[in-house]
Amino acid sequence: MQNVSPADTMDDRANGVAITLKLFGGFRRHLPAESEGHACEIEVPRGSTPGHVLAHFHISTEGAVVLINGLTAGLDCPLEAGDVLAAFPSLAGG
Amino acid sequence: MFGWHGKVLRIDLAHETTRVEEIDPQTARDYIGGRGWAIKVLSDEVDPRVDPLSPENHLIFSTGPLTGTPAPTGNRFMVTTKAPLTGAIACSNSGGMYPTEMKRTGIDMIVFEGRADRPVYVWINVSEADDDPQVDIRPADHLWGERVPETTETLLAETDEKARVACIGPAGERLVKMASIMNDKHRAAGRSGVGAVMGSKNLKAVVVRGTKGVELAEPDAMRDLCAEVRREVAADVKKGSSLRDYGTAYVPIVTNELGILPTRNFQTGVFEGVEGITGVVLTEEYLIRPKACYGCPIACGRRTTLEGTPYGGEGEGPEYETIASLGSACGLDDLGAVTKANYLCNELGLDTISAGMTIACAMEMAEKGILSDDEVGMKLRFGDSDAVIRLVEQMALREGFGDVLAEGSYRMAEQYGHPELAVTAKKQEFPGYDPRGSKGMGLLYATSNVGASHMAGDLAYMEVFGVPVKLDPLSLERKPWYIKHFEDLFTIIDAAGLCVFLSIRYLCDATEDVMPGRMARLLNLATGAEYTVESLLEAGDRVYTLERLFLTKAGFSREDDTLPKRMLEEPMPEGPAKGHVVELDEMLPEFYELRGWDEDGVPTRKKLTELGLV
Repeated sequence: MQNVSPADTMDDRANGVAITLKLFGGFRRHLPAESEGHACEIEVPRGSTPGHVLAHFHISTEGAVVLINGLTAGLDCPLEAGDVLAAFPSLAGG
Repeated sequence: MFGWHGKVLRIDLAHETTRVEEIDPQTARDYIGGRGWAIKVLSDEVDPRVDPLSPENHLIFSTGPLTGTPAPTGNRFMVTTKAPLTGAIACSNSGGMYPTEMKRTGIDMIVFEGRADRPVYVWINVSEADDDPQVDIRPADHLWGERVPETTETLLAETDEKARVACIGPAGERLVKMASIMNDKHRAAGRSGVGAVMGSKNLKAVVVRGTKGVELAEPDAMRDLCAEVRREVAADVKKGSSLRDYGTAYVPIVTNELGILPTRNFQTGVFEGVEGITGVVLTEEYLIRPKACYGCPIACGRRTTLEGTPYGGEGEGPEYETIASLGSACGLDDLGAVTKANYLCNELGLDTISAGMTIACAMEMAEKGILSDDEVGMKLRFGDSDAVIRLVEQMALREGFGDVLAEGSYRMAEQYGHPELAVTAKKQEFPGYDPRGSKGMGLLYATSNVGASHMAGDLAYMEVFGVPVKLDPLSLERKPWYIKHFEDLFTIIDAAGLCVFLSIRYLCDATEDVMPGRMARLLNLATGAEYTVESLLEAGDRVYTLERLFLTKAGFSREDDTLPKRMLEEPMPEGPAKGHVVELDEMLPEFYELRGWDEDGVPTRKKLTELGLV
């Protein structure tokens, strides 16, 4: 499990929530090397948002589409335990 | 004229005569080009009630004013006709190399009329010195029955190795309702059975070779604008935000996440086998290299191979729609099998979407005991790769049960007493977005002039992909406005000769209203036409409305602007769209009003007057 912290502060691990992170398309290369398919399990500090998570993985939020549990979500939506956070570059065709 | 050559080639196949006509500049501007000019001809000359496979139907190939210019993705053409699959119109678009070459013959549009009394092909050839092209109508008996790659090779040898070929395969010859016209071997004018119209005319192929350039109104300013667009595309390619990365094959994982990936004939939108059919698998197992259409900076195409696998062969693709229809809709999680089925469709000249979705419908019917294994000639169940590959071939050749499949899923399901199992609109099979989780797409499929089609106004750009901004796919808010707007935008793109993959993202304002600012500018620099954004959208509306009038006269009405029961009444069983249906009757009245149509979906006299159609 990866630990993610918002900005540059390290929070107490006991306050972490476990989420699934999925990265599609050109974002996929940012997944940890050992990830299978498009997903990895990570732990994030309580109150983390998609914006925090993308920043941790060095993914620019500009032009990123973010879904939480398959639903349209904002970058500042607080993540909860068991959430599935998916992100992909905003490009269309198919 | 600039941008346009202003020339239309008329080919009377019955008398084997040809003539070149000029188009008047006002008509050229009012209808933009491509799809727009084609519906004007079809409307003026073809009785909307004709049998699509009769000699009285016209088959029209048309480029746009931007085809063959330095415009990035100015490389497309449209095939327009009355459609055998739907009885509505067909507007099937294709890229590759052929459209640019066709424009280089000095012709914008070719109208094929009547029926040849024996198989023929047309060879159009011009050099700088000639004014109008040389047009030969040649025997094609030796090609009849041949598949697309062999036909293409033979014709290049007989005409000019540098020529480009558009042809039908055995499916078009046998009048399969979803036969395609293939160009450059692997590119398809796919939908609605345009290949069958070509086959009904005994027209095997149209070969083009030309060297004429296109005159531009403001070449320097145009060059600068094109360079600016290309820089933006290049920057996106560099940062990994491009279709070049995975082709359109990146889409299944996205639509699955939204719960709208067609699975087992749209019984659900979540496919447990999705990781077997993604762009990652394509890249790791089958990709040779990306491929671009003429002059395109994106290169979304995939040159692929199955050599070294049990399937063998090589070609291009598969694209997302193919992966959805021949893959998840049929319950296949094996991208190798989907790729093989894709190659076969291209070789035989068959639309992958309708082929896959028709097989998916047959699979559901077989699993429910409506179709017996005896009738099908094999045990047919979701997830059977071999069955899909065998049935694609049978469908194209009208062999065995393929003869039933060749009529499309609606006629097949109706024949067996269960038309509700065919997931179609106006008898055309849905593409790869389940509208219960993408409500705008539901309104699109129901109202499009070609039947269910994503290319008629692909709001998935916004509902799914966030281009230029993200809409909530489960909301109905503003969707009627968006669908009218996207239908008009896509009409303009089709008429201009551009590719949608570039046009929405790079030629429209990146705000929620998606106005075609740069698109109008590009068209004006090429043609000198002085479109404003408003007049350009109005031209799109004009073309779209004329198409709708054709449908009305062909017998279509509000009754036909509908969706299958599954979409209207069976809630999505799982995933993010769980519990949702398409609330079509909450969107349709507002859509008609925005379009200026009456409650029966007929364009009002007031609207027709505004558009200059009366």
